[in-house]
Amino acid sequence: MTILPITLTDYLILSGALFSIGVFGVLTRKNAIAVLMGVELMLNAANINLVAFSKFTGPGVDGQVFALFSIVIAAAEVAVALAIVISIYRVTRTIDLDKEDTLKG
Amino acid sequence: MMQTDLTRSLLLIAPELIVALAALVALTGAMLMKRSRGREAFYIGIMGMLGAIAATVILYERLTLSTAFHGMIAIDPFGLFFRLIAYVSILYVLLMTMCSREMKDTQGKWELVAILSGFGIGMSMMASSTNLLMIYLSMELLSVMSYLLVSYRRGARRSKEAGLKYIIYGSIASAFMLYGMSMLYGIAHSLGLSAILTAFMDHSYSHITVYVATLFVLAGFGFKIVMVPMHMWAPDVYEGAPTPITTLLAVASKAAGFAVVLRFFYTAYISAVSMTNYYVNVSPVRWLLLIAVIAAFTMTIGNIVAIPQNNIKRMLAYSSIAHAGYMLIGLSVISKEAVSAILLYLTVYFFMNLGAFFIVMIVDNSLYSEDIDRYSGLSRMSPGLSAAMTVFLFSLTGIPPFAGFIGKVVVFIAAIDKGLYWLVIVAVINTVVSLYYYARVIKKMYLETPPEGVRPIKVGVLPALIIISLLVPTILFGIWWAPLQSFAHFSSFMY
Repeated sequence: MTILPITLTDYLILSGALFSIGVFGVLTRKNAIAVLMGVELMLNAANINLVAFSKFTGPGVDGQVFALFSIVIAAAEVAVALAIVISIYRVTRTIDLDKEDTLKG
Repeated sequence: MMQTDLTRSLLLIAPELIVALAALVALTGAMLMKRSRGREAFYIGIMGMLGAIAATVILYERLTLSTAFHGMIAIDPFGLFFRLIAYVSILYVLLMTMCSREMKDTQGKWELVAILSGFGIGMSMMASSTNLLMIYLSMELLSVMSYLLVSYRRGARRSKEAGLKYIIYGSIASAFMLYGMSMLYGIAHSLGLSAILTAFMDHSYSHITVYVATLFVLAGFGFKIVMVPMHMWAPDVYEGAPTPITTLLAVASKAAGFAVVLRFFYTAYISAVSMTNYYVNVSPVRWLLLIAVIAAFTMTIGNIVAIPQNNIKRMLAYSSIAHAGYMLIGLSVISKEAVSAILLYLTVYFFMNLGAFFIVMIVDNSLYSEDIDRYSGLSRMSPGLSAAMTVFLFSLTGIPPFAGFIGKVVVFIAAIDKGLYWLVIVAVINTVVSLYYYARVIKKMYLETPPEGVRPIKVGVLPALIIISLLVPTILFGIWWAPLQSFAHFSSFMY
């Protein structure tokens, strides 16, 4: 039995699958935290893409640097999102997105 | 050599350094002056913005086209134009916040100034970046700051709900954008926008990848522009956010979106035919047609849904969606005139939309309401305010002799030049529809009687001065637009 080398395509399939799972989570979940977790999966799919392209094409490390930056940004964004979720929970006692419906028209 | 390049680059971002300094001073002030009510914070913010505006103007005057930080950002009239818009709009938002009832009892004014400064830096970097990494970073800086600003009122449910909706929609849009950028990186093997153009020229790509990547990246930019179908967040967020912040989103955030989308397409997707003034789309994607269709939908949906609204901020939110549609007409043709038309429209839109939101805030300060019904008989309560509001609303409709008319005309001419007649016809019909809901407010103000026992609305000196400073350009540029046009034309140059 031979072990096939891992190619760029394998990475892209993985990241595509991860991205799709993330989109599915975002679309189906009602809980604000669960939606944010879906977004996190989407961001990490993009990171896998960046690192894989960086490894397989060309000499530079642009993609890996980009992935590092995007991990940091994602952390900052989640910190702000969770702060907002906590502050809305203090007012409404729920984080169900369907129940946040004071603004409409 | 490295050292000199760094010093040179730092000089070229002097406005941002000044703003960053103001932010640091504000943060230090937040720690040291716990007792202060935060009035000083606004003075620091205003000083910082005035300094940044001065530095930007000096840079604009002594302009030498170049890139800074090893090609990460470009220093060109286009970028400087948007840096100017960024700092002027934040200056106005600071002044507005000082006059606002909603923000009066809000804690943390020092931090507010720091966050607004961060927003300004994000916006100016967005307009200047020529690299995917830089675009992503500056856009996230701007987004995270605006999430914080939208949910800034403590204990106010509407503000928090708006913030939650904004951050969830926003982070989804930016995740799509990042995925699109990763695909573009795979095609170009480099993060520079010019590398993408080279890859398109060499035909080293697969069509489907470029299509998906373009759509994904456009989703991220479209979120900032508020174009259909990425517009769902706007009405809720505009209504729930404190009015000064709504203004910031409607004016500055949208301008930043247009800056980045113009830079992206004109640097990475379009190439100038040598020795001529013509540009061609070198990418395999027919994005011009796509943008034209999106523009038609954006203005139609914005205008039609604005009609039944009863909250004036919500109505202005839909109207700002419609205006994004008009501006997108300029993006659906490629020519130098189209870019300068968008810049001119953005300048005009800046004055008239800021003015409309400012008056909404002043009325809300005394009537405690944002309902259009409460505008009944406003002309008896304050003739000055209703006259100014009438000018802003007519200008937003695009009725001569106000500036909004000139904005629309230059965009339409740019489209007619390239034979895009159907889109211009849709836009003209839309303008007529928009007259209905703008005129409804004017009718309420002048033709209906106010409820019993209302008192006249008092307008302070500072608000009055601000309104006049917005009113003068709105009228002046409608009559004498040549200087604005040449400024926009010069600013449409990208490095």
